[in-house]
Amino acid sequence: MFLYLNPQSGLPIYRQMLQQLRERISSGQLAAETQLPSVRELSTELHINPLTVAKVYQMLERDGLVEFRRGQGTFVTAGRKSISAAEQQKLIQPAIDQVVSEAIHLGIDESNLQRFIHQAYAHKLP
Amino acid sequence: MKTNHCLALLKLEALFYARFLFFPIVFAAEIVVFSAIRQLDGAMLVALLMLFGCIVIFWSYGFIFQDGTMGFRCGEQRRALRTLEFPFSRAFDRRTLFGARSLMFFFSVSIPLVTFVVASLWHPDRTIEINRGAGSPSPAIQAYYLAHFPGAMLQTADATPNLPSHPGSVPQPHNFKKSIVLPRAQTELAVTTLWVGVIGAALYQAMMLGTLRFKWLQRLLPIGLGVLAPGAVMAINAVQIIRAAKQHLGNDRLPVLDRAQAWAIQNSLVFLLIGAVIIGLALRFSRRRFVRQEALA
Amino acid sequence: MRTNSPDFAIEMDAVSRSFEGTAALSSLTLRVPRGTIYGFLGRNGAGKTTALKIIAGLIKPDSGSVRVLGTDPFEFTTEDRQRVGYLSEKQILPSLMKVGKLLEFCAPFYPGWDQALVDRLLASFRIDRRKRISVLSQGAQRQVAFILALAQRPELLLLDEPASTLDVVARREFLDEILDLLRQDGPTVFLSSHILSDIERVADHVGILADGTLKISEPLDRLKDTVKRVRFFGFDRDPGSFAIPGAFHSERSGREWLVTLRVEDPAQLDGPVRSWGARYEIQDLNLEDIFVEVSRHQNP
Repeated sequence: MFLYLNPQSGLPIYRQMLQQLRERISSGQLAAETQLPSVRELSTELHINPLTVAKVYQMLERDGLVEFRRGQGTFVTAGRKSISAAEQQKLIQPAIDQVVSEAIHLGIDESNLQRFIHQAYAHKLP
Repeated sequence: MKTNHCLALLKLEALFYARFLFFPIVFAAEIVVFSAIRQLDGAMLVALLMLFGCIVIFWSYGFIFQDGTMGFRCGEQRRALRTLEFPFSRAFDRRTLFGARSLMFFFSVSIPLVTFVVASLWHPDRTIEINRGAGSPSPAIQAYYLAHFPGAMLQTADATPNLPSHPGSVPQPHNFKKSIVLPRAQTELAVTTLWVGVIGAALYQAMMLGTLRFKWLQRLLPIGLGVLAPGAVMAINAVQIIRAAKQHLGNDRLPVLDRAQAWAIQNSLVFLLIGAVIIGLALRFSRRRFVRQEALA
Repeated sequence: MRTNSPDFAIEMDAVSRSFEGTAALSSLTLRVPRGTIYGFLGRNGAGKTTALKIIAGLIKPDSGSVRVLGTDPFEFTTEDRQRVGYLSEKQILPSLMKVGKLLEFCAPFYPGWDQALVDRLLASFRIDRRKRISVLSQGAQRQVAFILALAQRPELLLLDEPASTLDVVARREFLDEILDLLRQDGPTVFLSSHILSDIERVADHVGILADGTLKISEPLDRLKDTVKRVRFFGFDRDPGSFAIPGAFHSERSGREWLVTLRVEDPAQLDGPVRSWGARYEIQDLNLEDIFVEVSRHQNP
C-alpha cells in the first residue's frame, strides 16, 4: 500500500497515516473486508517505526473503521460503528475551522463555499 | 571459555604492542655490546639500567595501560589505538584485560634484563683490581669481599712483559697484578638486577595507576624518575670517587651496591620472598585501579 | 535473566558532571521507557556524549544516580555488558585489525552473537571483510562499529551520532536496520543525533538537551501535536504587552505576534485572544522548528 508520508511535516506521522487511511476507507478505495497489511509489513514498506503503525491501527479500530480478527489480521469493517453526530462534529471540526478560516481569508462567501463542498462530495462519493 | 578469552585478549594486546618493543630491544642490544667490552657492574651498571629502564617504562607504560597521549597532543590514529573506550565498552572481562596488558608490560621490561642475564653467562666472573691507585679497595674491604662472596679468591697474575732474553740483558723486575676474582658474581648481579627490575616495574605500574586522577603528576613522575633518579645515582657515585681521590688512599668504603648484592646472595630466600610479596600487593592494587577507571578519552 | 524487569531501560536522576570546571550536565533527569526508540537531541557540545558515556558506564557522574536495565552501569558485570551495545561518537576501533578478524574476535564474548546478521549487513553495506579497518572510509568504519553493536543482539542499544558520517543512502539503510531490529527483538534504542530528519523518521520519544539539562522529554507525536507556532493578528490596540505565559519563544512584528507555545486545546487561546480582540492562526511545527525554538537562546 503506498502512502505518502513526510516525516519533516509539522503533522506527526501517525496523523498523516490516519488521515490517508481514513480517506481511503471512507471513499471506498479500501473496500469492506479488505485485509490491511500487518504492522510489520507496513512499517517495513514505509520505513517507519512499527509502533507508529500499531498506534494507527488501534485508532482506526477504536473509530470502528477496521477490526482485528485473531489469527487472521486486520480487516476493513463492513459497516461503520455508528458514532453520534456530536462525535462526528468533534472529529471534523478542526478541518472545518481551517477551511472556513482560509475561505474568509480569501474572501469566499458562505454560499460559494457550500457549493465547493457540494462539488467535493460529488467527486469523492461516486 | 575463560582460557580462550584470556588467550584471545593476550593475542590482541600482543598484536598492538609488538611495535612498542622497539625500545627494549634496542636497549637489550646495547647491554650485549657493553657486556662484551667490559665488565658491567657498580654504579655504571645502575646508572645505565636506571636511565634506560625509566625510558623504557615511560615509553611503554602509556601505550599499554591507558590514554597513551598522557595529556600531550597526538594524532587521531594514535589516540584510537590507545584509549580504553573500545575494550571497556565490550563484554571483555576487565581483570583478564589487565592481566594481558600487564603481561605485555612486564615482558617488555624484562627483555633487556633477561638479555643482561644471558649476556653475563659469557663472562660470569667479576674481577676487582687491586692496585696502589685511588678507588682501589683497602685490605679491610678486600677481606669483606673474600668473606661475603662465595668462592671469592685472591689472584696474582704475573704481568711481566715476556721479552726474549739475549746475553747481556738485565732481567726485568717482576710486575705482579693482584685482583680479587668473584666467580659467577656477574651472573648473580644480573639475576639480582632482573628481580629488582621486576619489582620496580610492579611498583611503577602501581604508581601510575594510583595517580590516574592527577594527570599532572603522571606527566611529572616518569620525567622525574627518568632524569632525576639516575642523575642522583651518578652524582653519589661521582662524590664517592672524588672523595677517595682526594684522600689518596685506598677505597675504604665498600660500594653500596656490592654490599646490597652480598646481602642478597646471603639471604636469597628472604630477598625473593619480600620481592614476591611486594609484586603481589602492587599487582592487586593496580588491577583494582585499572578495572574501575573511567574511559575518558 | 532478570526477574524484575524495570519499566524503564534508562533512569537518570539529577545527574551532574563537569570537566575541568565546565559543567557538561547539570541535574539531568531522564527516563527512557523500554522497547522505544528514544531520540536524544541537542546542539553540538550540549553534553549528549557525556550523558551517553555515563549511561554506558564508561564514566561516572559527579552527583546523581543512574540505572541502566536496573543496575548502576559503572558497576556492570560482563553479563550486563553483553546486553548493552554501544556505538561511540568516534567509533574507536582497533584500526590495525582486519574487519573480519575483529568481528571473529568479538563473537565468542557474546552468547547472543548473530553471525547471519553480521554476514547480511557486511554484504548490504558492501564492506570487504578482508580490509584493514584503517583503510576504510569514515562512514564504513562507522558501519563496522554499528554491526559490532548490533550483532550481539542487545537489549539496549546506545548510539552516539551513529549516522553523522554516512551519506544519505547509507543513513536510510542504517535507519532501516534499526527499525528491523526493533521489529524482531524489541530492544530499547537510545540514539543521540543532530540530524533531526533521522530522528523524526524513527523515534517515538524525543528529549532535547540544552544547558546541561532536558528541556523537553516526551513522545514525538505528542510534541508535534501540542507544540505549535501561533500567529496572533488583528489586535484592536497596540499589542506591546501581549504575552502568553509559558511560551517557548515570542516574536513581534508590527501588530502581529508569533508565539511558539504548547497548545493542548485551542480553546485555551480563546481567552487571551478575546480580551485583545485579536485572531489567531495555528501553524504546525516540525521537529527542527521546535528544536530551534527550544534550544536557540541557550548556551550550548
